[in-house]
Amino acid sequence: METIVQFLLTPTGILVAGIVLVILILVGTYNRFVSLRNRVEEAFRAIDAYLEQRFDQLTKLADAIASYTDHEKDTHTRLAKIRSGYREMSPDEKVQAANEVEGLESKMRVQIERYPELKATEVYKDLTKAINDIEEKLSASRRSYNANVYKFNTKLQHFPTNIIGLIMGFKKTEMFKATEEKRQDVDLRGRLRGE
Amino acid sequence: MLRNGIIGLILWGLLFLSLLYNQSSSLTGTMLAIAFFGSCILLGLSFRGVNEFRHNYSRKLVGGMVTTLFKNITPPVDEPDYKYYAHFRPGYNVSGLDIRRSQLVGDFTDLEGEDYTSGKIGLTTFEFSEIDLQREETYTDKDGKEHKKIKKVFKGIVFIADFHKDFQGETFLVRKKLLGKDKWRLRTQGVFTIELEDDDFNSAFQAMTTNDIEARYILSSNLMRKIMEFNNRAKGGVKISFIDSKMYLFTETNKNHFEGKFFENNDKKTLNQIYTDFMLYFDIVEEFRLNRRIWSKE
Repeated sequence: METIVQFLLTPTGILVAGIVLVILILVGTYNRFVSLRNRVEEAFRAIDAYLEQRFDQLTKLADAIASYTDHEKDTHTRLAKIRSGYREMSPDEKVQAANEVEGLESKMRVQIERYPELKATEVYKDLTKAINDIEEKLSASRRSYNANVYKFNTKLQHFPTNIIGLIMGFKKTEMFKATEEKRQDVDLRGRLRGE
Repeated sequence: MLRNGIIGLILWGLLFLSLLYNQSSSLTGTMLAIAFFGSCILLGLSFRGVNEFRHNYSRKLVGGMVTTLFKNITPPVDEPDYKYYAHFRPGYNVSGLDIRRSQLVGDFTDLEGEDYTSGKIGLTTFEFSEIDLQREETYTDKDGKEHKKIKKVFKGIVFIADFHKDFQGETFLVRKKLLGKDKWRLRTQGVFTIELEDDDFNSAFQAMTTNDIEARYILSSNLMRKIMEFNNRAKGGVKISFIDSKMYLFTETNKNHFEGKFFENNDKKTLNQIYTDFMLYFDIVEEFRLNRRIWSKE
């Protein structure tokens, strides 16, 4: 122990200690960037998965409406068609589909208002709860995404982590601008493309 | 107790008189022995009296109050299967296993507890009790001698309830302190810190989790607000964990919450205080909206 201390007090020792310290800071900062980027990606994947789940539940809801009355089958048909090809869709198509589903959901809510008996059924109650649960998960994923993007971007702007981030090739990431009520504004297109 | 005190005083008074007016050492010795042993017996009887009072007060008055409180619940009209009941058992406590599962306290060797209440409101089962946790530590001094010392781990109320959302990860809310023991202990278990959207909440609690998305799913803005309100009402160090779809809430306090006070004469005031303390915990189920079940949990 004494020998190490004596070595560290020599000019070579100070230089070696300095280099080790710099390496440790670089490794630590790099790991922090990677960890934040992974969390951002995880949150984004969750958003995509929950959007898909939301699709499923809305399709079931449309199914319930369609089975209740012969007059409201258009929404069900349209939703079923979108859902069947969702996984194979390109990012652009997914964005379009997500936006279209928003419109169909509003339409369904209006349709349900015409059938109070349907609103009283267990199927409707269960589906509503399931949709609300997915909405909450979707919201949580979005908040997680934004919180981690905020941290990531702040690190990229702060000194000296900005220099390290620049050297390591990390780039600023865009945050979701959507509000709870208006998911149409989500820049899903760019995110699905990995921009 | 008062009667026992008077008898004790008379015995010691007689001893004093025998010392004053009698020079016989044998009589004084006998009187001293009678006074000493008599006082011991009276003291024992008094302690037994206090314990009996506490036991009866808890069993009859506090237990009765809990039963009455639950009789007065009005169940929702659209939920015919809505169940609500509670049992108060003064001599029992929340189990050590459940306390360990919460991961809110470090290692402990001794567990004491009392005033256990368990029940169900709607779909939510809950339990809580007073808990005192200690850890016996052994250390060696300069001379190589081993010594034991007792360290306080936690003293207060432990509340456990079903949470209304399903989750797999672990989320913790601990006191925000730079050198907080809980924070560092949890960090060694791979739990990381997160910042939530509410600044006031962030200044009161350090949120830690194994799953960022789940933590935000659990901690909705409404729940954060309710936790802050509870934190202000409880007037103690509150820490919470969400594990295996359960909520563990620990409130640090040195007060004996659910018991009668032997040396205080104001029964109404004491009962009111006990009622307020009970309601603080019964209200959690409603206030935190734990009954608002998600379909997958039913």
